[in-house]
Amino acid sequence: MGDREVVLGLLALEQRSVLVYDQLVRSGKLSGSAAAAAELFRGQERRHVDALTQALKGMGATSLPKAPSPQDARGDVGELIRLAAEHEMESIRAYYEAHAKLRSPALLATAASVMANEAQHLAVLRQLLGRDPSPVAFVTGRG
Amino acid sequence: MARTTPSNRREFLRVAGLSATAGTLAFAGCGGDDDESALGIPDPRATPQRDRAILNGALNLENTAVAAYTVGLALLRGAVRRHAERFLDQEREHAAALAGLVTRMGGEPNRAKPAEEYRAAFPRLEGETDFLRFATDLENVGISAYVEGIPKLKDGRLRQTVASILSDEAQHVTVLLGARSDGRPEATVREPFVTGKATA
Repeated sequence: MGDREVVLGLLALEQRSVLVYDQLVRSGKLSGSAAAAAELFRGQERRHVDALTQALKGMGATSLPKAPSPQDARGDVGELIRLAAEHEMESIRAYYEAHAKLRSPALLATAASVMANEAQHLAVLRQLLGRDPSPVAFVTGRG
Repeated sequence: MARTTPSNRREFLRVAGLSATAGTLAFAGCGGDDDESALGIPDPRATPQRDRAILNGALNLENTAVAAYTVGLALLRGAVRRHAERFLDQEREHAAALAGLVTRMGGEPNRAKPAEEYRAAFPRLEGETDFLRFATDLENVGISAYVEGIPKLKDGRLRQTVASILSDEAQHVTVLLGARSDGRPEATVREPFVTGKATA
């Protein structure tokens, strides 16, 4: 698998990340720190989408994945935050795997800085759920 | 309030076995591998020898973090102390893993310096606020080095290990910033691309 295919997969995941936080923001069910986090993280996921889109264009990609359609968020606040945390775990796993596959130094640096940001999102979401924000020494998106 | 000023930060990095030049951090290493001095030069040619030297540079960072959290525990109470205790354990895990990798690659893992040497290079820490600021700064030094080091590693599995450590350090920063603020997400997750360059 080449860099372009890896980045295409990451872009699809980031587009879903935007959707996840957009659903949280639009649900109207969050307040205080949870609402602020959802809004902040949606903006940061959009920046990731922009960066990966630019990278793909730089690699000559002409066909980019379409952003998924918005859906209504279902469940109580705890369930919504848990779903977001699970999605962050999936993203971290994808970036972790990408580190073994990517070849471009610039893409590796971007992937590293984005993976670290997703790990921070996960830490905040875990705190909102009353859990330890940083329970493991090696953050791989598993366990 | 003691702060990690540019001058004492340089001294601290020197003692940690690291060098900071022109705003970028280069693993300088402090023993063993002949090619360690070249690590600060951007070079796409990665080799197993250089991988080993990069990991040994990372080991210096982790040994420094262990020394810092060990000092910091005496200044902390309550939930912040519990977080710091866990971070100390995690930094030790990072150091042990990196030392193991260097050994398996046929190298000699860099040893931690005597505790007094680290202590002398650290800024004056008079309480929790001082330590939280210093620890955030130190974690950001590590993050910066890891983000710059990952693209230089030849072995994909090593890149994964370092990325998993980087992500743990990023979580530490979020918790440390939260302890220093009212916990607003904007204060604890400051940038969409975590590079360690944000001010402490």
